[in-house]
Amino acid sequence: MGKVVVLKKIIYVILFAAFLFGGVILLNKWLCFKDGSICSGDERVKTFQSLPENSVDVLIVGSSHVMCGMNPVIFWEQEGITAYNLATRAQTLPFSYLYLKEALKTQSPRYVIMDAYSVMDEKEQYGLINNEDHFNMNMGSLPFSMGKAELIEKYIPFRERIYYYIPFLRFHSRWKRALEMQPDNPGIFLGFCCGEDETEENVSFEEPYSLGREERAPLEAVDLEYLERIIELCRKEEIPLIFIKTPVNASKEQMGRFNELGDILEKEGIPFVNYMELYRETDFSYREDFRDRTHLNSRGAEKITTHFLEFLKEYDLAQTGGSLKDHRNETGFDFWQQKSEAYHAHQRERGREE
Amino acid sequence: MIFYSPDFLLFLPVVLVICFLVPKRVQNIWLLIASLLFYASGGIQYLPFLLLSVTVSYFCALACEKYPDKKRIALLIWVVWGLGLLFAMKYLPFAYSLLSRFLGVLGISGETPRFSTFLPIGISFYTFSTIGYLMDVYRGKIKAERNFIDYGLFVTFFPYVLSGPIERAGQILPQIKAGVIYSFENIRQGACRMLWGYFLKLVIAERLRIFVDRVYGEYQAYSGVHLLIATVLFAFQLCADFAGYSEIAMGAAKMLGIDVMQNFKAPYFARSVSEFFKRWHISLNRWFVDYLYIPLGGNRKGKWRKYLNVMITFIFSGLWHGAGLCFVVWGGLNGLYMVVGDMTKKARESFKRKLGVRTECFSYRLWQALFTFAAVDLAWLFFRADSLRTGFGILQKIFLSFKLESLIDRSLLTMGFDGYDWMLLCVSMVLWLIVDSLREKGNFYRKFLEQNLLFRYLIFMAGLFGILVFGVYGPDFAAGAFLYFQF
Repeated sequence: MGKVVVLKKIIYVILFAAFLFGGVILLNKWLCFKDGSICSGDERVKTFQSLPENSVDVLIVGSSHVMCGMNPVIFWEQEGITAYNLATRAQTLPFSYLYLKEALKTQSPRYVIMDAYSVMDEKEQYGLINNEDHFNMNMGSLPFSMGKAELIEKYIPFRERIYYYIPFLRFHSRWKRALEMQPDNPGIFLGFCCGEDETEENVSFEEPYSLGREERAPLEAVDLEYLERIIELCRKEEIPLIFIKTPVNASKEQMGRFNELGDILEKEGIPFVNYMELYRETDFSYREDFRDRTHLNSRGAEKITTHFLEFLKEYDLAQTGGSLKDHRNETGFDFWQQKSEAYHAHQRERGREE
Repeated sequence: MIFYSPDFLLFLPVVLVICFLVPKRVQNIWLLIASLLFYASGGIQYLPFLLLSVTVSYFCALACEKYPDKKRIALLIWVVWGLGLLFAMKYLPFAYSLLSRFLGVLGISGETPRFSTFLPIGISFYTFSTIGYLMDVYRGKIKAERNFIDYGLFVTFFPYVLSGPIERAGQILPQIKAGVIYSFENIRQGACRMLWGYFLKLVIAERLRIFVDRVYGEYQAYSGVHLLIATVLFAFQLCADFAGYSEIAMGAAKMLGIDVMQNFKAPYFARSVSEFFKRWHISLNRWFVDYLYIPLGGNRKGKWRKYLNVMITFIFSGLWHGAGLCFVVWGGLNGLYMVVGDMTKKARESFKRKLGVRTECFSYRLWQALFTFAAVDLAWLFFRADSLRTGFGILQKIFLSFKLESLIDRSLLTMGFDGYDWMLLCVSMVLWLIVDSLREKGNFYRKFLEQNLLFRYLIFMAGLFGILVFGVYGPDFAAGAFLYFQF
């Protein structure tokens, strides 16, 4: 075979591979995971990716507890701080680590607020990492990365991995839905979920029992591993990390794990703003500010966010002399103002505001 | 390991690459190992039966050649062994149930023994393949193969060991002995064939399966129109399923430079039942002609004996497909079509002449094809039905509960198919029709590969991604195995 013939064949193979690769990428975009719910990562990730680079001051990462409990609109309205809530349903620490890594590719926030939810529930028992639906719900919206590949290799059985590496093979039957227009999901503002009407009913609880500050329960290995990696990543990127836990009805054992986490964070010199205890310092009410068993309603979120913002300001002043700036009168931050207005319009429409 | 599983899509390139890397004299050993691994992936417990069949038939053929005066005994040993095993595994419960029914009629009843449901995969295919080989050695058409590896590979070759085509030693062994021929052309042609096979299986057959299974599964709940549509669609499901399998098998073999017999040639283009069976499952029908019909006397012993031979051949063909009365009825009906067709041939010809019917125009050919399809599809109804009672029940409903309004009352959108599915199905069937028409005119794949690069790549990619998007596979669907796996 002459050199020209060999060269031609190599070019054919490269062209073929390019066609194949291009097609796979396009189909992965077209037929990716979409659960369409208010708690999915679809819209949050899409909006986050559209933000101007390095425009986010405070990045909130975690589960639906912070998704419904930390409202970035309040950050903007009260202090002109640009915050974004990159939370997904039952996001455990391995996923949070990946979200954080992905977010840091385009943003360099002043603070990372990490949800402590992960330690609350047993991962294996509730399928919080290796369950297919859960994995897709958390990972489906994220682009392919080495971090994602690591999680697939770690938690997905060998035979199923192909559906995670080439997700359209898993979701190809959604072509019918993909042909129909997908409406934007109302009720998501800068990642904050202010609820849908039917789930917005208040659920009233008694004041929690003595929360047992003395209780201790060991953390799962997976939490310890990713806690360490998150801390390491933030240190490497020189971004202060703050852990938060919004109020929730926890069992004694769960409380023990939160306390154990608190001990570890204390040793690491990382603040843990635990509203399981701190709620007493706010006007938060277990009777009025929950929308369901574990999630706050928008009123509860407003109370917790406002209190947290006070803490953040003080902490920022003490640590850096005030690195968080008010962007409200600066140009290039219209997006936050628009989202803030949209949020209030949404609330008015649902009769939650005058 | 089924052809559309990720395992196979990994297995095939690995086999190809290793085959390419090892020395030529080791290639067949590697292919034999790969074929046995492929077979064992369907159940390691079935492997001893395959190995035993290979070994016994190998020695029987050698004995046949070495002791010409006792070759009949050698042949008999293998036929009795092979068919005996097949009978014990596949037909014993059926035979017993027939016998007990017969005895029941005579008032004799006994305790029903428990039969094992153990049926080695592909046993019907490899048993027939080895019997064909022994018969050819016996008749002196081919020489007995001395190289055990080559012979073993002929029987167990992974593209066809599970569901055919039922290959002939005279066709395959020379190719195996010549060794794997690597060429860019073979790989490309093989890939195109496989792609077309996957299209037939995953886009058409598996989609149709959803509808057909739903309607046949609860036939009492549906009107005659629904049942008629399901029966028509089953004909296409079965064809797409089996033709798809055969194309994938041919494609995989072609990649290794081995040409396997074409098993399907647009069967529904046939204009008579006899032509249909020259286009449908060609390898099996030729086997029955060569090794059953002709030894029975074929058409050499008079008209009535010929009809009897046709009926016997078709009833055995039915039984080969499954141990059940439905399959006997399927075979019997097709045999009857052949016999009646032959008996009335002269009368029909003269009738057409007298009426001045033009037989060389498209409309006449179309009429013939539709008539043949209707006849064949009636037999398919019994092939698909779970029991004779169900088969007749469906037939009765088609005629007695035929409500045309079922076509427009949107009920067709409630049987696992929505508007998109129907639309996709129509487009796929038209594509199938076009490709089969082109294939009738010559080597479609070669002609396709003669086109310009950009055109080829675009069509190939459209096909590949079309299958991946519109195919029925993956965790959302419990895709069925190829229908012919059970035979």
